[in-house]
Amino acid sequence: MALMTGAEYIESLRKLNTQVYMFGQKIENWVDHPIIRPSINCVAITYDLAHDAEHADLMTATSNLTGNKINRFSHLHQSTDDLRKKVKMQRLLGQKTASCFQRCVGMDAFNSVFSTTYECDKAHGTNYHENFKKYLTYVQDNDLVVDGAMTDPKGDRGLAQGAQADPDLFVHIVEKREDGIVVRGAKAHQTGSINSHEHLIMPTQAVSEDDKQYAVAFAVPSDAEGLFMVYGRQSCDTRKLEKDADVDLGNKKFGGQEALVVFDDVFVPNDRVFMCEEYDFAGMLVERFAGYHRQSYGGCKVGVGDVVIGAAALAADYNGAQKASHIKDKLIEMTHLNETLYCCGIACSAEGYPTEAGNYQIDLLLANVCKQNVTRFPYEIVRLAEDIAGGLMVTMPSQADFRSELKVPTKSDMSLGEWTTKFFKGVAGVSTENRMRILRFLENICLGASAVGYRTESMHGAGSPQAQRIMIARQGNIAAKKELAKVIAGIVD
Amino acid sequence: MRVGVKFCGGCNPRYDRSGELDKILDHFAKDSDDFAKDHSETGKALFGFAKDGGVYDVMLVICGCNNQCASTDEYTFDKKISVGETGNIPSVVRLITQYRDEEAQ
Repeated sequence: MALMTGAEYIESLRKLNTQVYMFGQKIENWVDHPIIRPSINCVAITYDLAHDAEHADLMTATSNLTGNKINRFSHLHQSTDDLRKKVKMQRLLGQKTASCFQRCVGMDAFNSVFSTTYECDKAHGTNYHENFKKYLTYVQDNDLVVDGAMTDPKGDRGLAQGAQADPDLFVHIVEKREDGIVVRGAKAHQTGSINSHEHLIMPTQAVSEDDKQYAVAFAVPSDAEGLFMVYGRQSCDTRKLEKDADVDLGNKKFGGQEALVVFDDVFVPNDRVFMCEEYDFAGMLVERFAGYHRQSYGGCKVGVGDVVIGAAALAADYNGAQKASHIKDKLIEMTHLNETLYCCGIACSAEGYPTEAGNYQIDLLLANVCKQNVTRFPYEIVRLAEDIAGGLMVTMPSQADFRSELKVPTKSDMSLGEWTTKFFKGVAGVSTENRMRILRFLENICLGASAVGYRTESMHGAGSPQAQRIMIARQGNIAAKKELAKVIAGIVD
Repeated sequence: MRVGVKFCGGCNPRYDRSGELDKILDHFAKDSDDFAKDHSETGKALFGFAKDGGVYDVMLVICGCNNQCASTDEYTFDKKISVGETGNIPSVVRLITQYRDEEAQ
């Protein structure tokens, strides 16, 4: 099947019977809902750019399974070149959307499940790898979006899965049948889940033998019986419901999305099961998925950062402050931080290696360094952006005020719109509206709906900061470094 | 002579890649009926977007930066010209002209 266009993707979502809840209501037409639609637009861009000659080299790849041209988001990385292009593709999409474009979780899940099932089958004599290859071929042939779902709600972080007061706080197997398994639980913080055709579920942490029912990986369609989603609300989300919402949104067309995905005794047929109680391989799957996903942030957040830097520079221009040396230096610092993240994304890709299954894995240490930096640098980048923009980004009147024809009963007999436009004019040659537009963009990314994707997601997405520190400690090879120091210092034990 | 045109993915272009391609095409416009998206549209077209599996005399790869990471494994070609920055369009035009003249001899 030919690659879908963005419009075809959006129409394909309408054919699904996905159960979506938001603000206490069941949402019947979630595709056109103004709060959800910007996140769908983001995913649609991943389809449209695959048809654009100016971007197809990054957006598409040749499938090692079928030999067909596919969207890179469905690709199993076959080389370090593929790993680098993944990061570059994500940077491109960050630039085009200034948002989380959601499709990368699926790609990272494909690659980690592919290599883990191969090794699990070798150890246990199971058939998960063949199951997965067939499933991924189906995804590639139909150009589908798959939500890679790892994170469980987790309850009491001090207790293992089986010790929780509520066993459903981690997805687990409740029944094994001849034709499949039945699962129960939920996945939290699921990026783009509502916009996905399918879900690929993985365990969220290592599993002990006592809790082996939690060692489960499988795929289900978004409208599987017993599956429903609850939309995660975001800062300033209801601005999207305002009449003629435009300037005040900051980023009208694009946005991110997270949801709680609930599995209420969902049946999974055997051919869609990729792990069933092989608890000794749960940790491997988690580590590999986390590694790929931590690499991803060295691309996507850099692209968004490019837009933030551009917006800050424009704000300085529109404020008339662009020649000040401290402004130039702050833009330099933002660029330095942003490109450092990119360095990390490229480095962990360049140092990738083939797994036993044949697809390429990133360098785990460097990927964790990448994400550790991502938990910090976007916060500093937006701090500098707020510094450059000035306080007006959080105090300016609304779009409705700027467009209002309501006369203010004072001597000058001007409308509200005329008054607000007059007082918030910056430099000559730039309209007050354009100045407000760029400031609202910065407001949105710093503390509005898009702050979810650029700040808090940078902190916690693909693992919270401590998770990377644990991996850096494991991979850091302190023992070998001690030996290096002994040699240089002339220490002989 | 057939010139297959390929863009890099454009993750961080240092210049307007489409604009630079247009400058090259403008120079050769008198020799091409049009910039055909595949060479079958008009037999006289010198340039066309490269198609997977295509065979070309020259691959013209327009890259956004000097990293020049665009892949060309999918094509068969005799010669390759990579553009990594703006400013060297005249030399690209000279090279394509030279290759065309050599083929005509």
